Amino acid sequence: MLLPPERNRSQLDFRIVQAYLAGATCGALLTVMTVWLIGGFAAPLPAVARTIVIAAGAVVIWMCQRGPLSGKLALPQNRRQIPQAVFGSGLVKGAYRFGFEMGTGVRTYLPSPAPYILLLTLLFGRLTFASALLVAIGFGLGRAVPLMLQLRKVDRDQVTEAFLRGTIQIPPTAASCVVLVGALILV
Amino acid sequence: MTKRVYWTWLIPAVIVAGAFVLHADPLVALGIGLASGLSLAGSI
Repeated sequence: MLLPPERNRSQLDFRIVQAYLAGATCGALLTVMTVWLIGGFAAPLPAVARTIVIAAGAVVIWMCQRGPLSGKLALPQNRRQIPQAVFGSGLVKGAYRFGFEMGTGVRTYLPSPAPYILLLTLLFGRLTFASALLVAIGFGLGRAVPLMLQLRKVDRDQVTEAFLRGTIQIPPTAASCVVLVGALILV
Repeated sequence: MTKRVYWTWLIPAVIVAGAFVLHADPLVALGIGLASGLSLAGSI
């Protein structure tokens, strides 16, 4: 719990959220740029082949996470919580490190198919550098939004409950469709 | 599905659709990144 459950926010709370946002964006940049560079090897493939790989891959990924292959074929993910040790050097620095680890997308659970489809897009989409950069910024921002929302005067239990419900029902599939459609536009 | 959950994919969907109409590929990229990040929102 990065922010205390208080209704009046202090300057420290805003600094924590800023640090978390910066960390999540930097973490996303690291992963996205690494995958984007590796994706250069797939550049010689024709657009049709890359489109088929992304579309077919997305279906397989969805089936592994939400469909009939769920529980039979596990997608790679780091099945652990981010350790509290990241807060050893203070709350603001800890928020940055915590955000960084969340932003990389490889240091904790991935309960949605969308990041895997995004990975495929980066590998086979032949994105421009600017597009790859914006993918990372979007991912970091998306990761930080739940914490940013807690700066507002809202019932955090309700928000948490709504988000948790969101991870097990329709939204992950809908988000995956958005990523897939976007990927097919970019190829 | 409450409104709070609904927007986690609807806002990126609108960004992607708008970017497609405007032929703005970088915005599509931003939209898919956002959709992907928000889809993990429950795990924070």
